[in-house]
Amino acid sequence: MASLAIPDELLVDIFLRLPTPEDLIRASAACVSFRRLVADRSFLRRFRKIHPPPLLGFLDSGRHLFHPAVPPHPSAPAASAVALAADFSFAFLPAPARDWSVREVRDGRVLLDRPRRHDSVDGFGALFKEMVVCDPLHRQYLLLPPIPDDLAASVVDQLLIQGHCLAETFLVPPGNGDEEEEEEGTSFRVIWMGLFEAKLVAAVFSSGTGKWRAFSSELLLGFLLWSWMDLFMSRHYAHGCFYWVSGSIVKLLVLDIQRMEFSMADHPPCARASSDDVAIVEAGQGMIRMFGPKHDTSRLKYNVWRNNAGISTQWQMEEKTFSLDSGSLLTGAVGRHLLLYQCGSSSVQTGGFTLDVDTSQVERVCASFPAPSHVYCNFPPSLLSSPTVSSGARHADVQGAGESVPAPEVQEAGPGGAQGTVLPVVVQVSNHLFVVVNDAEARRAVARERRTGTHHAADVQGAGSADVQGAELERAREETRSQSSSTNASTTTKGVRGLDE
Amino acid sequence: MATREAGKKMIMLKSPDGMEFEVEEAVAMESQTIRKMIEDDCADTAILIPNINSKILSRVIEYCNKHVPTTGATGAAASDTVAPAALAEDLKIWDAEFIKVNRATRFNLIQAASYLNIKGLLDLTSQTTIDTISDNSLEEIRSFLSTKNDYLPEEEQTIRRENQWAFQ
Repeated sequence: MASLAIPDELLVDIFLRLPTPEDLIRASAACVSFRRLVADRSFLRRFRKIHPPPLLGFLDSGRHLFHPAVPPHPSAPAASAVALAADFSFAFLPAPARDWSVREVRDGRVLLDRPRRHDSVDGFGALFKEMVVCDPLHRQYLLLPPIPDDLAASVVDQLLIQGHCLAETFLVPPGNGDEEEEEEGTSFRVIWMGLFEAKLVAAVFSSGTGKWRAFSSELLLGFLLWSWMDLFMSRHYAHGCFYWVSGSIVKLLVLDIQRMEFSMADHPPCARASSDDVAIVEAGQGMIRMFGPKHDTSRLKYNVWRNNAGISTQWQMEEKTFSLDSGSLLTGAVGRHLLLYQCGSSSVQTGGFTLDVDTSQVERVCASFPAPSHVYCNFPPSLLSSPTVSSGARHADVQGAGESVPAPEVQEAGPGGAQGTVLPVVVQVSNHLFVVVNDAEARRAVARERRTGTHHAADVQGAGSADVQGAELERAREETRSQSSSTNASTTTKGVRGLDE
Repeated sequence: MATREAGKKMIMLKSPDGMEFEVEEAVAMESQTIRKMIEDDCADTAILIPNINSKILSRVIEYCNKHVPTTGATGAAASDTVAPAALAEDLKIWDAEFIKVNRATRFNLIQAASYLNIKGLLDLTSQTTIDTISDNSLEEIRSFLSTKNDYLPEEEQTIRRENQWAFQ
């Protein structure tokens, strides 16, 4: 022990414990051998496993703009590096980039979709959209194959019976699987689900297999789609479960992502005005906390319920209520942080804030708070990030899209120069019964129509993405700020011809 | 503290500089490395701990003595009157005192904790190093970790340029 030279394995041990990516990069700049240790793939993998990716900013999903965290937020340096390196205009996706609508952002990946191009005949193109998962930092993308025919057929059957459904597509956080890809950080899963009045159809796409797998087709007891649709649902994620909160306070819909099982859970006993006024955060020891506004407090005072995150466990109301300053709006949650929007007052700056519910620490992320927006958490570029989406011809064995799918070719992406597997568009069904609408305002319009019995003939092709720029929908977006973290716009289909008549 | 029972099994640890330390088996087994040796029946007489001198080994044993669980299958029941929280607080204060050592000793302790696989001691000894890397300039990090800047000037420039955000 005469020499003070520290053995590599000790250095690795110390470097793994460094709290932030900045610290790691600074340490690696000390000398060549440190850099070699830190740049090692398996080291980076271990580091990413131990440390959750930091919150770097918000992605304005309407305008495809990134709002990086600004000083003095601890992520500001890394966020500005990401803002420089990444392409959040999605110009690297198959053109035209404006066709793509952001559906979700998770673990540095973005899920987008657009109506299928050649579906003027079948009419379901806007329900069974073309989906892509991409990594804006590395400009890589993977086009997902279409939903398998048999699943699509069962959805269409249900639609013909019930006339409406609520469809959602979202990225699933990594499970505890031991797949090699998960280790590499390139594996992801996407869930597509259709909610009917009393039934739920769902399929999961795994990047590991390149295939969709139907995993649920269940009857939902106590499920009230009509009320859920009218007040549109919000989706929340905490501790391995997704929670769908509706305007109804009777039940929550829960999806356990380890077991891939849906269930219904009790709703805390509170009255709510709409489904977007709650937030679910992760508490310690696998518990979750739900924040619901107290009646007549203009969403400034909240009751907090605690639940052991089991599906059938009871909610317990905490004695202390949670209060916001006037001018603040609770817009969602990510992990154990609440997301707040401060509209500005004499004492507090305008902007988006995070509030750690354990420590009550408040941090200002950035000045503007785009709506609708998604939280972007990722490691900064350079040393720490390998692409979160792996592209290439791995999915040559894609099945489930029927006989009409030729072997996919690897194609050059746009300006980014990345490559992605591009699957051909497949016409799936031939019917023209449904108008598909895409946003809150439009969904309300559907609800109004249903009440008044009026219909308007919308063009299916245009209903999906062309409405993105619509001024009316921009307003609707303003109203749906709460979708910022864990939820995003769902697709509603509404029987227009035939079924309602 | 539990009283020492007559039948309690003792283990002899030997440092390379010839010192011998007699410790309770439970204390020695705070080290996962030694635990494995004992469980594999490799510990009949004395265990030689290579690379760890007597000064460091005595400090490691001191740490293990303090941190060995006070209840055990063989030991008498620990004082039931002390609340776990108070006990933890007491340990924290003790740890803070324990780690007030010079840099050379600390690195020796890190090495010993790593070799003997004593997680608590490794956590404790690494933390200061982590704090140093977090809070100090590159030059200070180099000096603390006893390494020299062996980058070519242009290499260092490239690293700084590519990771400018980390050096602000």
